[in-house]
Amino acid sequence: MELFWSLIIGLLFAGAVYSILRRSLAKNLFGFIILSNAINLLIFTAGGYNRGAAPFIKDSSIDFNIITDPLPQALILTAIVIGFGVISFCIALYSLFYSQNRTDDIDKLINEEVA
Amino acid sequence: MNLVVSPMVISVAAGFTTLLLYKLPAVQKIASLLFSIATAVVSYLLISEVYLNGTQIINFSSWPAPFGITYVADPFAVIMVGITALITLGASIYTFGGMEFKDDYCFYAPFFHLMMAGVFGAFLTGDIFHLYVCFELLLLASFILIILGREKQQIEGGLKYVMINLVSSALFLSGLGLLYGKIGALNLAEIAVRLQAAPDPGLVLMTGTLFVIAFSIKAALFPFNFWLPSSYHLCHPLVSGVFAGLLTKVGIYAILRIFPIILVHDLAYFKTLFLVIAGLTMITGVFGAAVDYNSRRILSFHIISQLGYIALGVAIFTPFAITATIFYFIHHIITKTNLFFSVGLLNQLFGHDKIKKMGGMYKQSWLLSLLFMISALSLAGIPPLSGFFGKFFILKAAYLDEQWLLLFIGIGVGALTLFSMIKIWNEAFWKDLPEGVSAPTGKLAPGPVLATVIFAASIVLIGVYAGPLFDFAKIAGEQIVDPSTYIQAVLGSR
Repeated sequence: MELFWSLIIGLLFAGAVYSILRRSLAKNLFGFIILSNAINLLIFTAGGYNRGAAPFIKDSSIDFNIITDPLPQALILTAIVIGFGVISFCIALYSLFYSQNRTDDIDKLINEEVA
Repeated sequence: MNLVVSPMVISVAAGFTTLLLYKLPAVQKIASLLFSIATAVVSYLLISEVYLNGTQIINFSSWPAPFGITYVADPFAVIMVGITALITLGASIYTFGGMEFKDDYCFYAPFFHLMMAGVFGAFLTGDIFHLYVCFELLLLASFILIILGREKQQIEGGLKYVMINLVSSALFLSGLGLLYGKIGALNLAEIAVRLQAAPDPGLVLMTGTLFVIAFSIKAALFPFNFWLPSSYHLCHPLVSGVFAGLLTKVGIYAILRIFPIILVHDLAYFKTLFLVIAGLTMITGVFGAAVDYNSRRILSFHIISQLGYIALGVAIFTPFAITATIFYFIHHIITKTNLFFSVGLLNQLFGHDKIKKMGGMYKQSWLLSLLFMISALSLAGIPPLSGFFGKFFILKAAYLDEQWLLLFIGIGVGALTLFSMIKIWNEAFWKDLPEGVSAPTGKLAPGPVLATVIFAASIVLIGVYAGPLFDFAKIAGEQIVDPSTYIQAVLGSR
């Protein structure tokens, strides 16, 4: 199972890097969205997700070694919320750029002159 | 009373209060100043507490470390908190006459204080995931600050700044996830203990490299320094002053905080890496500044070259070198902010940053000339100002470690720094007004002048009291190189 998800994460990272390097701002944005999801999956997989019991301890007889560590889920939740905020800001910024320049081509960025 | 978390709490409160007051510019400005004064007061109480009684900690919700989030005020952290509080105060004074709180700028104060909350949190936290959260808080607030005004160039500069920082955060978070997956702890002290008990060179190399890249982007070290001079000079002078002073330094702070803890067995590889980075950072920064004629872009390039000195101290990594680095932090944050503030005054008078189209300021205002000269000479490292001692200690550390090439580069870069400072001086202050440019008619605003005077006085005082400051920095430096005091304070004796 770990191997399968590792391959998926690798593919997502590759796709994200490819999208971020595109010239179009919209594709660039999709790249960042994929990247944040790839990292969430990475934390999830690295944290170990498939050990057995749910992390609710009713009695002390349960074997602590088979319960799943709940902390990665908490980290991912935080990361999702932060990613959501950052991506919303990016959408606003990119649309502002588009409304000023009527283009979404990053190559059209003007480099201010060395004056 | 436990004051550890108070600078951050006050900043968050300030952010939301000023946000509610956004329709009342005058009230907002005064509220912002009062909150900054409160931050400064608690920060200095915290410093004296730590100075007298040693490291202070607070465990949130009384979850004992390493299970909850811990805030740790050790000497290094409180030194940084103290300077940040000084910058917060100066920036709030600057708004009186330096910035009108109207249009977009009515949102300056809320996001400024929220950014400061992120900076304070990053300095004080003892939990690596909380460090990430604080980074995101300060980054998101800085994204908004950098595009305030919404001019075409600002949006473009902001676009570059946002993209590169998103990549940096992504790398930091992936390193963090891998580290947690292997170690199973987020508390820095606990990570140190577990790595000492069971060293894992493969993990350290992998997460270490991810962290080096992530923090180098944030700190604008050599291969990742291109974004800084293309975004910092486009925002409001006050914003660029605060950014120049603090944001890149948070990146270096994170390196200094995390590396001694995760690199318990593998320092040699990173030492070589950082020596190379330091040399190239110094050279690229100073050469970039030498060919430029935009005052704030020259200073942006100099942020990079000065960060090279800091990286040099980090690379050598002896107690003396780290002490020198911490001293350099104190000097550099204040000097750099002050340079941006005094150049911001020039920008206010002339309405632009092109030093070729300026002139005659020496005739017009002796005060501004003096204030600029103090910070410029301090940046270049002329005694008896703070910059001399900062550079001297770093270069002495390089000498003691026998890094002859870097010693040579450091001295040369100091000379070239003087060259570009003199360039600004010649063009803006010394020469006559060029033909076709009329003398600026506006007066110097009181707030910016007062803020600049405070910082210039601090620069002189740091130079005069370099000894006692160095002694306090020495306590901090020794605890960074040997984190056992830190671990003991966080986890107790067990």
